[in-house]
Amino acid sequence: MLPFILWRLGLQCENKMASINLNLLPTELKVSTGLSRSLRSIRMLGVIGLVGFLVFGLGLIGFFVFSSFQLSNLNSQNDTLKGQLTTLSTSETQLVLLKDRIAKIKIVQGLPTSDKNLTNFRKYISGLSGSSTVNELDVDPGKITAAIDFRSNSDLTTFLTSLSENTEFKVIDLSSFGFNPATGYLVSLTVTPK
Amino acid sequence: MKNIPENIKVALTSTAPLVAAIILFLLVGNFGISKVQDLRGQISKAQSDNTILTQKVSLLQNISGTIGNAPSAAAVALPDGNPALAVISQLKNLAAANIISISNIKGGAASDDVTGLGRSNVTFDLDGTIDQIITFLQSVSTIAPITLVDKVKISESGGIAKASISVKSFWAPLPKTLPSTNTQISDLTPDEQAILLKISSLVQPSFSQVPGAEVGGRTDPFTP
Repeated sequence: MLPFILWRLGLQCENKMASINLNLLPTELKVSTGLSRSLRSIRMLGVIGLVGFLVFGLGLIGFFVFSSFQLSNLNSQNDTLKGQLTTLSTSETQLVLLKDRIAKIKIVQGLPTSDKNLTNFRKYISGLSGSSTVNELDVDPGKITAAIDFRSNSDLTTFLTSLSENTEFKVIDLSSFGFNPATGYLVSLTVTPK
Repeated sequence: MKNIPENIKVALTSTAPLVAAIILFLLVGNFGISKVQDLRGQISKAQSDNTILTQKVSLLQNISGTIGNAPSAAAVALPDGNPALAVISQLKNLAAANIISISNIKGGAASDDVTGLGRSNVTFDLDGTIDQIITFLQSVSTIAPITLVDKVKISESGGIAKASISVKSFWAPLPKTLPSTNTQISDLTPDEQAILLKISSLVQPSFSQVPGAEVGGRTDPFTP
């Protein structure tokens, strides 16, 4: 109890006579100078921390308010644009339909067809004279099978020469070659396109 | 409090502001920053939506004037139902234009193609010269609905050729829904424009409207 009374007395004396450095506290109760300095620094640091927190808090609130305004502005712009889109829904429907059809037409265009084979083979049979006859011509996307009757030797030579110099076909398979004095040369061949 | 040594008391009072500042930083920082991050995320999404919507509106405003009747031409080129009747009509018109005899036209049953599209086969016979037949077959690619020549079997005798042809045409259901407003939409690519140009030049089928039978009042057989 005595140390406390003495300490209170010491404080009062300190307050009343600030200029007089009077300390009646027992020496064992006195806070050492080094610790006192450290605690003062810690206190200062704490005050700086609180001020920093205040600045940080205000900044955070400000940024939050600014961002909220920005979001609200963007949302209202988006609502206006969505309204414009509603008026343009016919154009959008047409564009979506068009893109859908074009994508599917692209698939169809990529499918194999006999047109190309027929077009490629046409130039070889169109050069034949009237005496030669295409007995049979089967065309599908994968191959062409032809049986041609050549009355003249020159027709046969022209046909085979031009066919051998072609660039459109991968394989030309001469499946049969016959000669009949009455009908001429009968050539059967299978052509595989590239 | 009375029993707390003076040193501790002084230390506690001195460190209290710092501890309070640290706690406040941790609490408010954690809560406030997460809120701000959430808000920034929403702004970022709204900005991305805004960019998409602006681009979409601009594209649709520009395209609405230029698209013309391309969607209907595309829908005729690849219809949403079996086009066998239209193909048969087109083949007959084509045969008349090429002055070639067409007969024995048969529309096959609809089936699913490997591509996922609906397919319909039409078979028919042609009579004429080989040149006429080949010219006809080459012009099949110019008609709408899009028709591909599948198999050709030609036999010639005495200058007259006879051909058995199989062609196939396709269809696909129309899209049922529009993409969501936030989905980006792109303009037609040069490749798509080339296809569009090609399908716009296809010969469109001409259908005549058959008028309905006139409804006449039923005569009363009992009146004199």
